[in-house]
Amino acid sequence: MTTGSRATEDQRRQERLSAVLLDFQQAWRTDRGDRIAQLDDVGGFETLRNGLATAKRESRAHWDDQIAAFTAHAQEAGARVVLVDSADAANRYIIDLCHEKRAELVVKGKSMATEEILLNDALLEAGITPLETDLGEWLVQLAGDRPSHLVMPAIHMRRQEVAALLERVLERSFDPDDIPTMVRAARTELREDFARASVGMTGANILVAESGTVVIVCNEGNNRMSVALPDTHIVVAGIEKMVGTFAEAMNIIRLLPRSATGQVITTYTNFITGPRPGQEQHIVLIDNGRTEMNRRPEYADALSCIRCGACANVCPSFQVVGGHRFGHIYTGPIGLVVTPFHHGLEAAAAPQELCVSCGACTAVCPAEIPLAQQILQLRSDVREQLPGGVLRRLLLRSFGRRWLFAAALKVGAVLTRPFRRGPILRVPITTKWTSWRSPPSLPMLPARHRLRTRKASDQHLPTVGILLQCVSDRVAPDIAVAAVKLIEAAGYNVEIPESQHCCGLPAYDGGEWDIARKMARDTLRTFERFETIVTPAPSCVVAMAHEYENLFRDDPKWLRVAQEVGPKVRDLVSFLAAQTEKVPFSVNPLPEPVTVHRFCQSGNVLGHTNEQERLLSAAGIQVVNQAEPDVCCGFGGSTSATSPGVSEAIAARKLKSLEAAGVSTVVTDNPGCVLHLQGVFDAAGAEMKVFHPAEILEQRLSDR
Amino acid sequence: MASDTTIMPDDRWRYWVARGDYRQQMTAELASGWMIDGNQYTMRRFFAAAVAAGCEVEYLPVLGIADLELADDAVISSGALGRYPQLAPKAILPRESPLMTFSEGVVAGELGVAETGSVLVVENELSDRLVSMMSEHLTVLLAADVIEDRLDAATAWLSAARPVPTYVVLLTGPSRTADIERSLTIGVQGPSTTRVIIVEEEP
Repeated sequence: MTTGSRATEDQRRQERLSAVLLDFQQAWRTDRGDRIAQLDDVGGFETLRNGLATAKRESRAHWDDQIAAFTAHAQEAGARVVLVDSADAANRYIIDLCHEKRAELVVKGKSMATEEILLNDALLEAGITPLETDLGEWLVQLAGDRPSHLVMPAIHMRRQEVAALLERVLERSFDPDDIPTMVRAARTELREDFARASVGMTGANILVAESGTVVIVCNEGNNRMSVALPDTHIVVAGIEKMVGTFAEAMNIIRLLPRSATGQVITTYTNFITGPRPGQEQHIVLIDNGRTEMNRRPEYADALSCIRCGACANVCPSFQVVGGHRFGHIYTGPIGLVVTPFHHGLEAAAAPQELCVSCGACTAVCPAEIPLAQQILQLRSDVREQLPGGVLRRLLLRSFGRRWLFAAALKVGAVLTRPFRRGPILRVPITTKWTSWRSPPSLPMLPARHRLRTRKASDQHLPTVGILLQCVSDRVAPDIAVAAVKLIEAAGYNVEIPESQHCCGLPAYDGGEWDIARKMARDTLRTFERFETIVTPAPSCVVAMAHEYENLFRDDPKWLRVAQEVGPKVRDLVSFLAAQTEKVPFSVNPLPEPVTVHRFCQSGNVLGHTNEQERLLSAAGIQVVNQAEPDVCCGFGGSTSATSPGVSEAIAARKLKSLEAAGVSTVVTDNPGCVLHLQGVFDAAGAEMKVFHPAEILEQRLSDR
Repeated sequence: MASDTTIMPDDRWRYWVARGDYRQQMTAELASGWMIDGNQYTMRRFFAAAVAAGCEVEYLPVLGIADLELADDAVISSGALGRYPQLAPKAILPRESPLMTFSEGVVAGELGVAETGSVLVVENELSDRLVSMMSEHLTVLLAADVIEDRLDAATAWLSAARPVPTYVVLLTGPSRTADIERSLTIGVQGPSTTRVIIVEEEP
């Protein structure tokens, strides 16, 4: 096979996987949504997940005590509990035990903790055969592969691959379309092994300190057999699985299956307290970096994880590349965060670049883990501790200097003038950044210059400071100009400070936090005097109202300023949506309907929902829904620069969703997304135009 | 029957209604007055949730244990036998061989949970676990008066049990997997059908 055809085959595999994951994500979203809504009966999702996070935090605050209580109670019930600090120590203990029991075969229930410590490899080296009995894990093991999802380990395998695999291993033929027969084969095949194995091994979903109980949820029944049948049962669990009480455990049980598979509850929820009569039980509690993680406040909340995999199920990049690329052993967004502590920073360096910072993981997490922020923290750690990135730093540093940036864009505008085709630049060279997304044309005059000549507004009106945002100021000035007109029309005195540049978000997202801090300080200095600050870009609100606190965590002086200014920053859409009656819109309905893309962080971070739709409706504009209004468009974070292929695929998903709406105008609230989508539409030859709401709404002002 | 909508405002009712046969069955049973008023809501929720989880749910009339239809080679857990001694003539206790597969197994629940359609079963001994693990068809006997509304009842049960039994399981529906292309397949390592029989014991 030539290199070329192998590349094509890999590409096809990747595309098939993306298609499977897309179906899965969409079906899961519906199922999970329905089941989560049921929680309103018992207090609601937000209350429950806050309870979970609180219980886990409480547990971690008294970890030693809880581990001691768990140990005492489990031992009282007849178990033997050991606490080990490393993967090696865990493996040694387990191997010694297996040797002592003369075990040749170990039947295993699904356990990420044993994946974490690479136990199967260690057992094989010691001459002991580990046998995975969860169907997905079994298939992955037979194939010599690795699980690609925390909950659905074999989601990357197609039924044809499974049939071929079983045919090879079991030496009889299987019909790929007859899944029940393949499932049945696993049952028949594994029965004998269950009978033969002298050691059974499982993980734990929850450890209950008050009683020494191990809780395991499962659907297939293989876990229960691994627990019950062999004469020795070994539990391998991370110490973060600890909670204090059964009530806290039940809270997790309400959230875990809903978040994992969209089920109300799994078929089996097992509460195991000590060994059965005639059995030995060993509980191996592993630290392996967890205490260290607990010492780092910026990461500690990741220890609340219940391994549901929901974060992967909403992650647009995960959908494109799958868990083998998006993660190390632990996959998905949570995998990025915990990997450095279990497997070293280098192991997380490449996958973390794939995060688009859309925040969907944080919003969906049943344990309230601020995943998106933690991944950016990780990116910053990677930049600080691993070599490379000289060019990136140089570019971001230049971008951070207002005059330099302005001059560069001016020169760029002059040089690229011959290639301008409306809002698009038709450059005669193709790169991996521009083949799927045409670059925007650069204007000769930035918004700040165009706005200088406007009529001064009434000084007696309440004053609003305008953060133009770097993109709408210098690349898409129509947005900034329209935004200012709208705010003035709503009855405000507008001030546009000349010293403003960029809030620092690009550097923050890029992991270059020293550069981001400088830009943040400049922005705070410029705007701290205002009572209200409005920007056409919700991404800047995210930065100023949420990320600055993180950025200045260790700098009390600037932290105070950030905390003062943050709550005063509003994005144009939600600012106007709260007072539509004050904007003099024309009452004549606009004949052409539009569809709305919601900037992902508007919902996931700022908590916005239908502000754009309400505002557009108030201006007489009909809005047609798209299928996935909240899913990222692919522009997010620094991914479109670092992994353009991934960004391209996410954009293609968005394009499909938008095209299905059947209208030719797309409105979206973040200027970055406007330019991104505009370039994507152009490169794909899609007959759609994209606007910021300001541009559309400004046309609808009655006194124009 | 006019009060139907007022006592059943819950959305889960729809699962149940969608199953025409269950509606008929429940309506007949309601008319026969077997469910006392205060318990109706919980009982209906239990029915709906258990059916949604893939269970068959049946109601056995008062003192009907002896009439329970079981396979000739059905195995019965010690828990079920302890609670329902009427089953004694039919009792076959399982041999402790994991290779053994039973066509039908009978266990008894300590508690039913309407919120999830689950039955809490205690299985300390291996022989008891074999009944619920190794049977192709599982029958779960559940007393009507131990069906509670919420999972919190299971929490309370576990918290009150001292010492906590070695092995407590919340059973909800048949064994299942979706590991091959997310295609839901019933009956993997455990039973392929789960039948919950609600038993009304003599007061």
